[in-house]
Amino acid sequence: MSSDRTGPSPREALRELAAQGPALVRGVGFVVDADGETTQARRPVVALCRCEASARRPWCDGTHKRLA
Amino acid sequence: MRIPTPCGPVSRAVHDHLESGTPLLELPDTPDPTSRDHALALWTLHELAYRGFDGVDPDLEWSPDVLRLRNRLSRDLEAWLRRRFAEATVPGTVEDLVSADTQTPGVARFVRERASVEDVERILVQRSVYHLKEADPQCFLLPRLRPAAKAALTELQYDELGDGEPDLVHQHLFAQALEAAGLDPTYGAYVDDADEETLTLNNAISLLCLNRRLIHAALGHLAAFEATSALPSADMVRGLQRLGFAEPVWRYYDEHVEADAVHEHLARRICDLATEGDPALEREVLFGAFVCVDLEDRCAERLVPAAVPA
Repeated sequence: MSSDRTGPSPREALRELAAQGPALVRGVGFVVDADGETTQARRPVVALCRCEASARRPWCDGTHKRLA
Repeated sequence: MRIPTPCGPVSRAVHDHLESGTPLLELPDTPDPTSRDHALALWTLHELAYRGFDGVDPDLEWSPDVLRLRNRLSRDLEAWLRRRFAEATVPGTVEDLVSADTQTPGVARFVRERASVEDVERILVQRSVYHLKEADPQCFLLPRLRPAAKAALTELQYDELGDGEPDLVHQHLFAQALEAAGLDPTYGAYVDDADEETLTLNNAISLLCLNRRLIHAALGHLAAFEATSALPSADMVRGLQRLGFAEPVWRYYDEHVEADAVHEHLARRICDLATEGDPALEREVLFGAFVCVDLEDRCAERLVPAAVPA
């Protein structure tokens, strides 16, 4: 069924997200994840992980560079 | 801090000039930027622009003798750095330069995998020369930038300097790391122990940051420094934990995993804002990034003993 696929494969999607790097956001007080867990932000600008491979989610730890 | 112990004729002349006002008229005959003597002399002259030395007249920062020798040693160092840049095979962008460099095992991987406690102490001693003044040189860049780049660099520097919390100033975190490792946390305590490679790396940063002409190279250096920090910092944390170092020793590096994941992107943006697409200025950014990677590699070669084949 792979020929019916219109979007990127999970691996391609991960590569794409990794190539973009994190989202930099200024003025974040805290982040609530899908499970409702809250993480306080400690710095005025935070880098939010987009590739979901960071060991410090929700924050970026640079791991995307090993995936891109 | 006290004036560093001289190790040759030039650093001796600087020492004596600062201590007792002996004239500093003789310039070195030939450029020798990678001699420890010249590197220490330049480090000492640069330090007059930072915190100076105990008992040394602060006016000497601007004395003609000091400036003449500093200019001479700076020119020798810059010429050497530019020669290395011209002779190296350098990728066309900072991103490619940095990603090529992350393939080579450096100090952090050595610490993660096989360094001993004594190796780590040796590394912390060398690193202390910069980390105890971390982010200080880049403060000199701020007044020279236009608003967009100035605002972006200030954002980065604010985080380096603790976000308003004295305990979180990165250089203070490193002082706490030294103390917890049983080392001297005093600013400049280990300059006498610094290798030539360490002094040259520090001199290059001061050269780029203290000379307005070199500001784009200074920003390129910062971009490369931040981009090569997050992942190696995680390696440092693992290595220091492997060896059983106390929490304050690895906390400095732990902080840099998240901080530099942010700073890397800020620094790259600052470069773009400062160059505005001018190819000549972008080449200067690349030169600065090369200096960072090149001199870090020199230090790593000195600090990391060759692996013994199993």
